[in-house]
Amino acid sequence: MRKLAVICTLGALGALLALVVVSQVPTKRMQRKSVKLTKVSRIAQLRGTQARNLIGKEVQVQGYYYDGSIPMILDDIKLVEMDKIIPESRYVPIAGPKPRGLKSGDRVSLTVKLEKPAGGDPVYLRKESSVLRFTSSTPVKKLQATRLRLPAVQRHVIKVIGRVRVIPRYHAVLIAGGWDAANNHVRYWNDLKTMYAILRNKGYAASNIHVLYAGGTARDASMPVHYAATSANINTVFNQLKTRVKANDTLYIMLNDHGSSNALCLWNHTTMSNTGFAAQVNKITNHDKMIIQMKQCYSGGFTQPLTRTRRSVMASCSPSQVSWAHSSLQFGEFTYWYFAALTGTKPDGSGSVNADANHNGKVSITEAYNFARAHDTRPETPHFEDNGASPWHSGAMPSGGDGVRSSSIYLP
Amino acid sequence: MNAGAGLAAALFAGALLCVCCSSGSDAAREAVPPLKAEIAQVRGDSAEQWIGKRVVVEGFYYGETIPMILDDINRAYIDVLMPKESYLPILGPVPDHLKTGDRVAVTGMIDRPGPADSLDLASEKIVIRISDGRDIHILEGVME
Repeated sequence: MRKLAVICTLGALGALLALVVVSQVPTKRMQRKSVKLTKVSRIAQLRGTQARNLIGKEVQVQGYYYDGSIPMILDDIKLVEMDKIIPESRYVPIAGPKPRGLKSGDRVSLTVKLEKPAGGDPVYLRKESSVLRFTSSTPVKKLQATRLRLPAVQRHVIKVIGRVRVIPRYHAVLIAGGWDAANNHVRYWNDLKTMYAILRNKGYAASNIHVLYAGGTARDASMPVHYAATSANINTVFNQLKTRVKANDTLYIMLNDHGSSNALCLWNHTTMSNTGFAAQVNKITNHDKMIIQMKQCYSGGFTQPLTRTRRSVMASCSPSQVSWAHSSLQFGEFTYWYFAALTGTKPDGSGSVNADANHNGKVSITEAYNFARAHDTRPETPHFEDNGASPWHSGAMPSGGDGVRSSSIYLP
Repeated sequence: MNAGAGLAAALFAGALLCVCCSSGSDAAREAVPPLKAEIAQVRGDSAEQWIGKRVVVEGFYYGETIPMILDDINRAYIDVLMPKESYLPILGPVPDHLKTGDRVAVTGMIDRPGPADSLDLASEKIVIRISDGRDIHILEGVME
């Protein structure tokens, strides 16, 4: 009898213990979930020092999805319509697989983990203070579909050749070598990323823009960098393009940063000669239009070797002149006004301009050049060549046969 | 109990020693005035003989690439490579309020960049190493 009482007591105690354990488990799980998820009202809370306490935590945030440079969430989609630098507090990059079914401009609500960039992330993320770590199962709720205009590429004229409809494609190569960290002025990055944003807004697909910048690392998330700016990588890119660029396609080339006499400075104390660069460009024989815009010192020395039919070539200075920065040191002088002409807004947001000299509602390459040349206040003489024959011409275009063809070339 | 009191006394003495040494070295630092040097001297052909020396160098602050002082701020406005004798990279905590173009005096140790320093300095042979923001004194602020 006593034995039975002991067994019953032990059994009751065991049952009680099990009940306590079982009742505790779900409570702990629920607590863990509710403690870890933090609702964030402003994207700024996810960036810089403000994010310190949220790193490693699940956050719930609303914003606009944007995939025009790198995938990111923005607090205001209008930020991407201007060619201004997006402040760090206004966007947070996405790391991991791109969210499916989203278009740039969609307003979304996300529940996702905030992390610091990891070693396996793309190089352009490594200077970011934080990223939203996506996985294939990250929940994304679309709150409002995009109101952005359709990409310009869908509005392009479709050429009809015989019975075959051909859609022209647009390719670009943007190069700034920088030489080394000390000489790699921030304006070279700003010039490249502004041009990148202009091309993207004009309908150039991100996959068709090749960026070769300094050692291969982006300064911020506004533009991906595909390669270090070296001779070998320039060779690689033009080898790819010689098969990708087709007869109806346009190729835009921008050279930036330092130049020495008849050479472009690249990364790590190397150069490429004007004839060496022309040999790379000459690999592209099958194209419609080619626009080459050069900013570097002595860039005029590149014009003659690059002169060919169906090419618009412009340089910010003559073969014997140095090129200059804008007074802000944030852009090149010529490029500052050239960007203003193409966008209608000064790159630093200090006002609007109108370079549409013939009032046809569009700014041609000749108009952009003329506007930049007229507003360039530095001791540099920009010049232009587009009739396929030397010599090049300075001053307002058209002049001496140059500038006529490019007056009907747009971006596009 | 006695052992505890002994330990506390030893810790107190150690702390006192540290404070004395620290203030002593600060005092020594202030007592020995830095050598006045030009950027071209410390970055030029005789750069090796400046290594390890505490100097004060004047120039224009330029913070658009790596923090540095330039002998002439106009060098930053043209796309010509800067000669190595024209600039001196600064290693250490640069104060946030410095603006590109400020004319400054930088006091610090001439040194070679080490493996623990930024990779951006890998191609530089000589830098000036500062210990805190007070080592950079603005002589003339840039006009806004």
